[in-house]
Amino acid sequence: MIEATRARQQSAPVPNGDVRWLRTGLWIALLLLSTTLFIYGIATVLHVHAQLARSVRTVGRVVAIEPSSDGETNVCVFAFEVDGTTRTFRNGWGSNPSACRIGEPVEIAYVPEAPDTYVRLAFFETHTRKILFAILPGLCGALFALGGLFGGWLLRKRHPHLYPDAPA
Amino acid sequence: MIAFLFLLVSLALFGGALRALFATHRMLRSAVRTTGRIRAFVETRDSDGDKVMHALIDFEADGEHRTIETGGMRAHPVGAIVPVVYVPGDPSQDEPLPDIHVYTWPACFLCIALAGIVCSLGTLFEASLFRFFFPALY
Repeated sequence: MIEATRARQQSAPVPNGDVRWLRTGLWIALLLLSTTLFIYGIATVLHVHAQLARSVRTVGRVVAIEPSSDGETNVCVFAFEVDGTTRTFRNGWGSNPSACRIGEPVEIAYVPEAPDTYVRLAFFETHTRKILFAILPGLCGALFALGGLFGGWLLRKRHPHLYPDAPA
Repeated sequence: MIAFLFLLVSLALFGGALRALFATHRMLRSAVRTTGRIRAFVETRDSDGDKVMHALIDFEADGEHRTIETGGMRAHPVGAIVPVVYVPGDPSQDEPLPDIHVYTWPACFLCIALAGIVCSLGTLFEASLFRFFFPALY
């Protein structure tokens, strides 16, 4: 009787066993991917910290503004000099209008023992991109995966009066 | 200037997400579960002008007949019995039984807001941060 009432009360399509396992597998895959992305983001931030800790600062200049690969935006080209050798590099991101002016000074940190290891000394370059494109998506993906895996358990535990059985 | 605006938006998002998280928790704590019947599907347009199908669900609460209009019910046929929740004495909180991601969305927005706050503060105070964390550079 109770079972019949419950079935009548909630006629939502209930996933069968195979679909449930497939769903669990997808959530686990998303969790693994997201965790990997998150750890990668943290690792790149730690890497740049380690790099900055043994770097010295110099001042370079914007020497050119070039169209990006998609042709929609412009990227800045920077140049700086170490031991008489000029090194140039492009910004990793573009903007329209351009975010820099030719001749504008920029701070650059490079490792004296390995001058080819350098980074523009700007929070956007050293942290923001890693946070926005690796750490944050990884964190949100992991949250969704955890929600998919344990959301039902959490709801049953916190609100047993609403979820007497597993929520869909 | 952009970083400052970004900080303001992130702070607003953080406040909104935190509020939504607590409001959801409060609502679920005091909500009552009952059942409703899908009366019909109506086609409406969202803010982008795209067509969306909404279900009209009839149910009884507080001794009166009520209807909620909601999306995400396409898997059910007209006439299906679906679980709904309501807060006694507050018809504005009527809604279908929330799914397993009811806490995930505000939690994600909290993370996005936190990331925005960190990034904008980092940009606003980047010189001081670099001096503090990497004094050898200076």
